[in-house]
Amino acid sequence: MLNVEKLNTEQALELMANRVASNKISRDSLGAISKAIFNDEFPVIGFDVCKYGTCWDFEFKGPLVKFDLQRLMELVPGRVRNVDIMIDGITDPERLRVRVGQELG
Amino acid sequence: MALMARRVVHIHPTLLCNLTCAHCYSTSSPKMPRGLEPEDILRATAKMAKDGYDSASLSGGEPTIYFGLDRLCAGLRDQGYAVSVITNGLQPDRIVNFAERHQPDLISVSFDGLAPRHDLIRRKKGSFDRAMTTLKALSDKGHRCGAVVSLGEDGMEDIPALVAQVAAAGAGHVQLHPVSELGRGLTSAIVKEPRDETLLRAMVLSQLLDVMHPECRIICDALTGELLQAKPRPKVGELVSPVVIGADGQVFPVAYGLADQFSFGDLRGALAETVYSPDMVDLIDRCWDAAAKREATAFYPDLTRLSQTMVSA
Repeated sequence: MLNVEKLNTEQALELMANRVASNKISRDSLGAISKAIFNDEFPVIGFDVCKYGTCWDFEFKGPLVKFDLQRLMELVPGRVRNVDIMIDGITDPERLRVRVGQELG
Repeated sequence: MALMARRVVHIHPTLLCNLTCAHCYSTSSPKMPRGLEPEDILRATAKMAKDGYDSASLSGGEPTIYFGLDRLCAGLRDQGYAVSVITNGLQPDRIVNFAERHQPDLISVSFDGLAPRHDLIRRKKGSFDRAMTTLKALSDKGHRCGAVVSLGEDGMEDIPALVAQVAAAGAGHVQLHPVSELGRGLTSAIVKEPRDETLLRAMVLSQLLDVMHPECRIICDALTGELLQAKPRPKVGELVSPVVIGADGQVFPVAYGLADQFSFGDLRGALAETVYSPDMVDLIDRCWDAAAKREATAFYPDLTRLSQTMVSA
């Protein structure tokens, strides 16, 4: 497992970008990442480093009751360690920001 | 549905260029003739403006050495078009002067990688440095500018550093554009059209770079098959976008290099209505069905090839 304790977000992104650009991730991983990124239901709106490795922020537009966590988990690659669901609130109650923490391997 | 959100006319006023790039889809070079009369183009674009076209994109050839550029830009503006220009950035002073005179809505400088790769593909030493100088000068003067980065099968490792450089130089957008095996690109030994996996990699990379550079919008001109499948398709009778005007005066729907049978005609003669014909929709449907099963697609090169195949069959 990659040690991410000393990485900030910028460094983690740079590391990932260079690995993708240099063809240093497997075809399977590429397919899994692209499946998560390029989906119509939950667009990726952010990326960060967390205590588990990385976390991806997905957006869901609609009321909370219609949010399908199981569907999102089908799209997310790797080992999921935690999920935070945040509602925009008064500004837009039908917009959720869903943060998925993953173990970075 | 349009393939593009805006109603775009993509104009190649000339194939005259001050470079002879290894991958040039239009086979532009310094040996090409001077190009179309701007008045001939403007007569066609006037009609298109009335039909709803609102965005003109100038390429070529190198548009900034086109003899009729001033008249063409002024005329397009008078007709209500937003004007964007793509340049190789080889002549910084000339290009900045052009931008100062005409204030294009967007001016994009093309790149092929970091300096060694860029200069190799452009077949001119120092062309990378000049392109970067041009981009920075445009940004310093307050022009809305960006970069179009060609994407071949090789060379993606240059892109993160290149994007960082163009973003630092003031680019507001970066467009990763897959090269096509068309024109000189068909026989190039240096640049190859990207495979599906490479396109997919570029799409993922563009998303990561977009997060890394919030001041700069980064996109890749490719789609996964799944995303393409979910998009609505053009229908017969709908207005085509983009319309492509070639330097020979022929006007085509959607993509450069389609087989002649799909032409709307010569802009100096009688042009057909720029709407999707049954034949064109059939071509797009066939291409769409095939592309939607693929991991990733740049679509337009596939469309051009399929049109040529259908004709030869």
